[in-house]
Amino acid sequence: MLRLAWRNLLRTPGRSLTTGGVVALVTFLSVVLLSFYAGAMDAFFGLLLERTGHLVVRVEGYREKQALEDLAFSPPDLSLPQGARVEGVLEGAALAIAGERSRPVALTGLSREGFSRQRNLLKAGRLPEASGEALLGEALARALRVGLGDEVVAYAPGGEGIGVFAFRVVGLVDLPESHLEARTLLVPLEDAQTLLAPGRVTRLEVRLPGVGLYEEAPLLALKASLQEDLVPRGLVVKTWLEANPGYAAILPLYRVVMGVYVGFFFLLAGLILLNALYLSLVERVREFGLLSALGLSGRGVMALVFWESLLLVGVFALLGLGVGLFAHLEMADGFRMPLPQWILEQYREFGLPEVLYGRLGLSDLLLVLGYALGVGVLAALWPAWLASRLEPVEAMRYVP
Amino acid sequence: MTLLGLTWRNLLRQKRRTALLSLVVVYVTVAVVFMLGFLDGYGESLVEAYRAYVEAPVVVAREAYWEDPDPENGFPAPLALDHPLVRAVSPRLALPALLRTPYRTEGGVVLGVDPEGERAVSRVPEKVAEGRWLRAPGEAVLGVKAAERLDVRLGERLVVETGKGALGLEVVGLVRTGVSTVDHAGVYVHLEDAQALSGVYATHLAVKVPRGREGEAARALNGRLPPGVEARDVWALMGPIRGDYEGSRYFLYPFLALFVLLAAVAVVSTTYVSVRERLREFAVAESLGLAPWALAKQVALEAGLASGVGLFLGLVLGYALLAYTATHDVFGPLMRLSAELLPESGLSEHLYPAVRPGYALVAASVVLASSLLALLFPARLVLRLDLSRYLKGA
Amino acid sequence: MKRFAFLLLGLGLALALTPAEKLKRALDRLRGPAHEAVYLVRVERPGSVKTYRLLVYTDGERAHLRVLEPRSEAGQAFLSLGEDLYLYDPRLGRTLRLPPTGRAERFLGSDLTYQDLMGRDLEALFQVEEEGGALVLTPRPRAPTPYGRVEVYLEGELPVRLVYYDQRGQAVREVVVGGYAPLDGALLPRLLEVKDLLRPGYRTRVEVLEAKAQAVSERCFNPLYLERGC
Repeated sequence: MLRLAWRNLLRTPGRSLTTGGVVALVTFLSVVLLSFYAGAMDAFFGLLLERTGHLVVRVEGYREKQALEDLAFSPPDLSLPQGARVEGVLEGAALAIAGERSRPVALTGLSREGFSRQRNLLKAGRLPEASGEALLGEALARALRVGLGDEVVAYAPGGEGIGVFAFRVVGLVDLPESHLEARTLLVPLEDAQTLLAPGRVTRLEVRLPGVGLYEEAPLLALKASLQEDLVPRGLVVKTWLEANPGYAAILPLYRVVMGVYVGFFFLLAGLILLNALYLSLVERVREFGLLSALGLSGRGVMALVFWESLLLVGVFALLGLGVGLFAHLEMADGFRMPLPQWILEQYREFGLPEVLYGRLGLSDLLLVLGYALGVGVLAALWPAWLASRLEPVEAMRYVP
Repeated sequence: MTLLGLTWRNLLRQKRRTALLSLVVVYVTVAVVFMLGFLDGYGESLVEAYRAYVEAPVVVAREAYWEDPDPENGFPAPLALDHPLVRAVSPRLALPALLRTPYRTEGGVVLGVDPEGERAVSRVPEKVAEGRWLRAPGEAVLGVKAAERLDVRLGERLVVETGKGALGLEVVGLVRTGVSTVDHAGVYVHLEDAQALSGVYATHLAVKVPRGREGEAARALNGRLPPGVEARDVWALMGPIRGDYEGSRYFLYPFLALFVLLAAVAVVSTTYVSVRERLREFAVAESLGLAPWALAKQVALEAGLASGVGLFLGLVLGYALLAYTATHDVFGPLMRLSAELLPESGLSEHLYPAVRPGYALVAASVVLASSLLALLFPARLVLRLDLSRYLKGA
Repeated sequence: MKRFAFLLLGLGLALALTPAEKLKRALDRLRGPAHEAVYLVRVERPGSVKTYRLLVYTDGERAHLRVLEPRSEAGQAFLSLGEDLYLYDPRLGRTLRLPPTGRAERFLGSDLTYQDLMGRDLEALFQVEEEGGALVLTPRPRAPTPYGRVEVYLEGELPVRLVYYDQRGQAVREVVVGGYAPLDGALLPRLLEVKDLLRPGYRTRVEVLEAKAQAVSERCFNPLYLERGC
């Protein structure tokens, strides 16, 4: 049966190649699309994770609280697995004053590791190394008319700290989101504490080594063990996705959207395949009639058509998959979206870096193969049914 | 019988295969029409949001202000704008200020406007959800979400403070525009109040020009404005979201072209079979004197007509789909989720696909593609016809 | 008899002050005469208390304040001249001019604002009515104050209690004034207590010690003298 199907396909090489080509193309495009989008998602979420940390410890009810004194807490010692790192961050509102100009800013006190993560955002100057040094968002520096080496005074009265602190601008950062940039003042944690709340932080970021981007289990386990200690102190622990619910909502949506996109492609391939199978039936009506007369059951005829379809789809889907995988391997090494530079820069504003890395999972491959199989079966349904209904005698005498 | 009629009859003779290939063409046509409409709708929603709510069709400001948007770089005095494309002009004063209520103190940007002039250049005054629009100094109008965040209600006083002074303004209205930027961060005050708090006349002028001619108007104005003053059109004023829109176009066109090509392939493969079945007919026709090229053209016509059937059905379906989604808020939830994630991007809460006749032309390229491909493949069968072979057998 | 009646009538007329006049006098009493004093400011929070010792020079409108204790913050100085606010911090090493936005903020992290210690915002921003013996202040049109209403309770001419309400009728802040003692022919309140009614446990007490009534030298109100004092 298989050999028969195979030979039939080879009898119309033009059409088989064309139809198969479409299947291969669609498979290839689907694989590339999945790899591309996964890369974009990874980059997007990777950035989010980098900024947030795996787990975040904050004061209970922090979303509703506004005053710094309600949000700041003394960081307790956390019992963490080996290799895990904790960083404290203190954020508070302040007024940045330079000469006669002033702007409200969100002052953020970072630890050394926190600063090293800002390295690739640094546009000019260097990272702060000592007390009294600060990073400004470029837009903020423009608004205050200061440059590297100039002085900016942070004024934040009403807290427990001294309320005023002078900084020297040692670096300028270019943030992806420019509206944030105009309010960004990054200073050493100790200075922020001196200014706003000595010895306290507004959040603790826990980072674990070797945890995959979407791996939740180790995070949830650690969260549970930390919560025992921290909840009685009025603190809460959240995973990075829980801390960013809007983004977390995208993840399940993404799977669905990808499934729909790939589905659109395969639907087209399916319709073209349907056409091809029907045409092949039309061309071989007499043959089918003969086979039927020779004893091939209706079911056998259907099986023949199905096999042809599956063979065609199978061979070419695998071909497309192969080429797609090859392309994916190239993409996994890093690629840029084929768009003009200015568009890439705009995407950076949304947190999408210029270089993405393709990713393909088993579920993606299964999705594509599943669609291919489904299309192979569904497209053959009607022609197979038609073929099985042929009256042998009439079929043998068929004149188009 | 005309050539067309003949071709049409040929198609009708093979209803099933025509129907099948039409399926492909319908699918592709609907996809083309809908995707183009969707993308245009996206663009339109962005333009509309920036044109009518966030900014203005054209904005005129001093070059120094474009460099450094601080009120001190604003206009010290009114500036007259004269051009046939200019329908209305209204001054605006964007003022960074401290907003204070008994519960919250927050920095923000306050927009001083001329209440009546603003009606001519913006749709924000039409979108008052509670209360009313500004009428006199001493009043303020906020976006609904901004008011929620500051915890200030209609009728209450909001203190607006800058380096030059402070004012207590009564909140007389709340606007709900569906554009995230305005609803979350919009604070509108009377121009005179803003002037008192800043010391300049205005920071920029909002200019209304006919839809679609913003770029033209900006260029025309730039030719006439005094030195040091520059006009920018809505596309230049749009933030980074513009990149997403343009990027989508870059991706979409190749895909649609591919779809059209594949549809043409389906049509042509059917035509091929049909032609092969009727080679004897063609041989007879040729032996009777019809030039091979004429026959080839008939083949092309057949392919074109076959795809035309699918095109027609696809257009009906596609435009129906567009018409439905253009009047019913199908994409609302998607837009709202996006707007929540990117509140300052200027996304609207609605996306209504555009409905333009031009899409039919783009979709019609499938007919062109089919005809051309038919000339390349099935027609060659006819051109290479070996008459003797077909005329011999009975 | 008739003369006595006329005298009484005259006195009565003289004593029938308008609410605005009553407010003015109340503020005069609240501010007291120009003086130099040491203020003890005790900031209470749930679970903690912080005490400042300040040296204050004021003429009722303007004030020069210097932090004496705690040692960690000693040396800071503030100068409030109506609209302008200047700050000197020894860690900064120089004097800074702050925008008016700095003015309404909590002073030294306490519940006090600059308007509690100086200035006559209550007169400038509010209009006065009298209701049941207390003065009820409502904001003038467009007055830049977030409050909806202030009630001033008097004992005679002396303000003893001020209650600040938001615009929804809820009391958000209470100031209790007491300890009026004579100083050079005038009266100066020696005790001021500010309570944050929205947050239980938040309270600030000011005690005036060692007050000396004297005209304050103009030097004290010059920003150039903020660093070394006057």
